[in-house]
Amino acid sequence: MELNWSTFALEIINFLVLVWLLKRFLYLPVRRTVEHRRQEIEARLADAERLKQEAEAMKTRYERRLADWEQEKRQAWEALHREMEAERQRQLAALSKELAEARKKAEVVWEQEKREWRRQTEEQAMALGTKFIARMLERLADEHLHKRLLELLLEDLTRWPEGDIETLRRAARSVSGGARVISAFPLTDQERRRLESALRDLLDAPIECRFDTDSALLAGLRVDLGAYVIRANLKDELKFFSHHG
Amino acid sequence: MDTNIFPRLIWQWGPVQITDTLALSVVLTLVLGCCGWVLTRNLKLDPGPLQAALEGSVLAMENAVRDLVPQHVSQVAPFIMGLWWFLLAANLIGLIPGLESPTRDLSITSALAFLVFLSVPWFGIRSHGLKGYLSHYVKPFPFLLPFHIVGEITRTVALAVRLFGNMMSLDLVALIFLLLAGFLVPVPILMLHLVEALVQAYIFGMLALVYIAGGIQSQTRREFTQ
Repeated sequence: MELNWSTFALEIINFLVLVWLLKRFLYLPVRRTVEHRRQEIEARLADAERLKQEAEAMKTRYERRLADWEQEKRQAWEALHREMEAERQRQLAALSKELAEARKKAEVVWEQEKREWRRQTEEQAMALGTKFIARMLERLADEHLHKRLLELLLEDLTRWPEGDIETLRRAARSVSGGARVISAFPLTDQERRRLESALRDLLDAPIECRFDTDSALLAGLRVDLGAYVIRANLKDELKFFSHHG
Repeated sequence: MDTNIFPRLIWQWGPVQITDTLALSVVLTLVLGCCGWVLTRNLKLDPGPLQAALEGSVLAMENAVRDLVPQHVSQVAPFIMGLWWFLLAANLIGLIPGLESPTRDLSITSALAFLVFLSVPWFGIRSHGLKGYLSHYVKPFPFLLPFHIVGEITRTVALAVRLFGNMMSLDLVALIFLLLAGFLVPVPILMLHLVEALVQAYIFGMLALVYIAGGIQSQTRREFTQ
């Protein structure tokens, strides 16, 4: 075995040609294809990343919008609650006002009823009292009381109110036939004179008196001057008492 | 089987001699070039099985280069890829009856080893310049210059002789078995030839890559250290 320099040199050339051929027709085309594929993949990855970022941005936007909606919903709820609370307060106030008015009305009605009841009770009590007093005074009514009432009348005629005197005198002038004196017991002559004298002094005019007796008066007497009646008897007093007591 | 395992002279013109090993090397060059052209004529972004296998093999070789010289892949990869493709084809073609491996010729392996020997300073100088590359022979100490030179020569000779010896020995062993034992007995040896062909092609290419990377990175390492 020896080294063939011709083969040695030609093999060097042959191999260099092979390296050039492989680089030209194998290595570089494969590299270009791989690089192209890598660029395609990177482009797709970039697109995917871009789409992902867009999706994330959209997601963020939608989440923000959802949060806004949630806040708007909460605010609407709060506004609705406020309105409902205000409406409730308003209705409560109206109801309270109505209740107060109803209560006031009921109180008024109650006061009226109470007053009516009290009035009826007083009337009943008065009627009972009147009946009781009348029954008692009927038992007390006698001539002595009659005389006492006559004395009281005579005394009152001397102290008659100035305002009523003129009215009394006009009534006396308008009546015809004089005054009619009705007594529970018959009056004595002296009593009649004293009465006529007192009336004359009061009326400042002569007056004719007609004397009658009515035991229904129980005690005392009644002077009828037409439109004006002077009452000084137990029956009229009890009647007055029962009406104005 | 042909019992003549040594290269035969098939044509001569003056000092130019064409042996059968050289002729087969030229044929392999043409076949590999044509195969590369045919296979890469219609590359697609969505590869089929054949394109995927081709791209896988090219990228595997490129990755092996990238692991050692990541900054000079495009410069070194075609040379290393040529070594691997050629040695793979040249070693395996001996399994075809009637054909002999060109790598059983010391002239062929020496030519390849010489190219590796030249490629080391070639890529080193392209990477760091002439002065930068030559300075590594006298560093760290100037007296290491002869050792560097002897080391590069001996490893080149070892590269050539290793491939030649392995391939020649396989053919020789197969021939001896054939002569002594008869027909079909060398078949296991031929199976060993298959493995040996792959291993030797890988070793030759990887050693060449290591030498080239050493020529590039020794300068880089010193620059980094300084």
